[in-house]
Amino acid sequence: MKINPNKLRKHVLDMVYEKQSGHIGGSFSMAEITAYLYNNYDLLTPNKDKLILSKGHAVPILYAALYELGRIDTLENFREVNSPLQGHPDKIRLNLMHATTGALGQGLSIAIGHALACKTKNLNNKIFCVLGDGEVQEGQIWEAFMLAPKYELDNLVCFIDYNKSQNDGYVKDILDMGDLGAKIKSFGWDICVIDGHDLKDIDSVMTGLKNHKKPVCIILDTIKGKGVSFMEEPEWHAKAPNKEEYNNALKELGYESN
Amino acid sequence: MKATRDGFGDQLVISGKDNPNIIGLSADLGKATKINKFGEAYPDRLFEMGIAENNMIGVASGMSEYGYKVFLASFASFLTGKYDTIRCSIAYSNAPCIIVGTHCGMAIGKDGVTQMGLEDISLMRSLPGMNVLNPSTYNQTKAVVKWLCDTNLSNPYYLRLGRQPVKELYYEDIKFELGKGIILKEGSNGVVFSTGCVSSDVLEAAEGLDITVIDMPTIKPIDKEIIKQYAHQNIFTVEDHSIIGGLGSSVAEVIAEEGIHSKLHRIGLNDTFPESGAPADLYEKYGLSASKIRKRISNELDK
Repeated sequence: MKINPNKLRKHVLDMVYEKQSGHIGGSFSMAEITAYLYNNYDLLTPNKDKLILSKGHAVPILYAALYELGRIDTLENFREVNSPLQGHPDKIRLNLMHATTGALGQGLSIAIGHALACKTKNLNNKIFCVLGDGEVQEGQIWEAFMLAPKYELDNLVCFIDYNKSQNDGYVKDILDMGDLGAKIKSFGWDICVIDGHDLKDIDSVMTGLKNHKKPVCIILDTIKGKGVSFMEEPEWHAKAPNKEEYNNALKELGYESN
Repeated sequence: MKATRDGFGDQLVISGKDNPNIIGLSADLGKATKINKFGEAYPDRLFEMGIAENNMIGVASGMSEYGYKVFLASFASFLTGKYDTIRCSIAYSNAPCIIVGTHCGMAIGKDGVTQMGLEDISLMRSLPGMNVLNPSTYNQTKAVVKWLCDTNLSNPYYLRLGRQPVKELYYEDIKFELGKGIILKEGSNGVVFSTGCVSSDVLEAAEGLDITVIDMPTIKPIDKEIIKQYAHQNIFTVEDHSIIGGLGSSVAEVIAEEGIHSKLHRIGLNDTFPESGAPADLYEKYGLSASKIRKRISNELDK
């Protein structure tokens, strides 16, 4: 079964509406890459491919994918006490999460640890990491960017969900990152920029990844809140919809309102 | 006389021989922390991370997912200062790594406060699941490192080590027992709990005094039983660390919770940053020299 990105958005919308808590904008911008990775890689078997969500606040989109794949039974306990579906990924409470994240800036280092260990053990797998474009303001991210080329981590793919907004507003206004691709390239990475909402674009870059020696950083040009017109604004970073907004959003995603 | 950091470096080479899953991470202080000895013996198992401790902490967490026992080493102050990274990537992630913080205490002397680990026990002790070890001599450190290498760890450890050579108090082949204090001397007028490299000075300070001296290589989990058994009157703690949150606080928590009604005297840094200087001069000025410790104890015993 192939996961449909809009179906993931619908689950995220339901979760955040029901609990009046959670992050819609940065989950919606990741719907296509999430669907693509779960559809095309083995993220469910130990010692196979790993997905480290460094921008941990977007975890509802991963829960949605795992629900679609039948790996979690319900999304109704999202953010509830005694639930494996914590507000940010918790690999102890839910071992389908490959890293515990949420304090921004830490995931790429953990992903490098995975990639380095897998190389020394000759495991033929891929380690994926997803960063936010606001998150790269954290200094630790650049420590990680520095290190990965040293060990020629050709099993590591870092995505940046380049949705141009962060908690308090647009990235360009908070702390403009300038030519992010050029900066990361100068650290020794291979860089490409693609439309993060185009599954064909994603597929062509991912299938062309063979035979590279360097770690790869794929900048996903995305829209925060993508899929619901009125949510494509920075204010929807961590805002929960009211009933009317919820119903309008459902319609825009192509679902009947409740 | 050898330093506890030497015990770490030497034992890691020995234990690493038959255990290929032991690996090391270093942040450009491998000569000082002695983890470079491990790298010289097993070059493909020591990974140099550069001067980037936050990243090293995350890499350690990721590598520990694959059956590796990861020792990550730097100065105690530089490592434990990356608190949120240790909190989330190691402690909350329950990554069973061994964080090795050397150059603890003002005993490092002339390099000054920025290089001294002075609040590291306090910081690490408050993290859920984090164990805190602070061995006092070369042989004890070897025993601790051997235990860490031979034991299937289910949560993370902080290992606190010193730079200065210290007088040996233990036999070469002692075994480490997690969470157990060790009685160095018995007396009847009170008890001194000591931890880390200062323990040999404490023993010297207590010479001729009718007082028990107990070495506490494990700060967390604390040995409640030995505290309950010996802490009745004239209770002292000594540590080259802040008295806030370290051994003194750990003992205070136990005696308060157990309803032990006796005064506790915490000897260590009293909410202050020390300074550069010869270690002996600093210990004299800040009350940790054997003579100052002895004076403090005997003043109380004479009351």
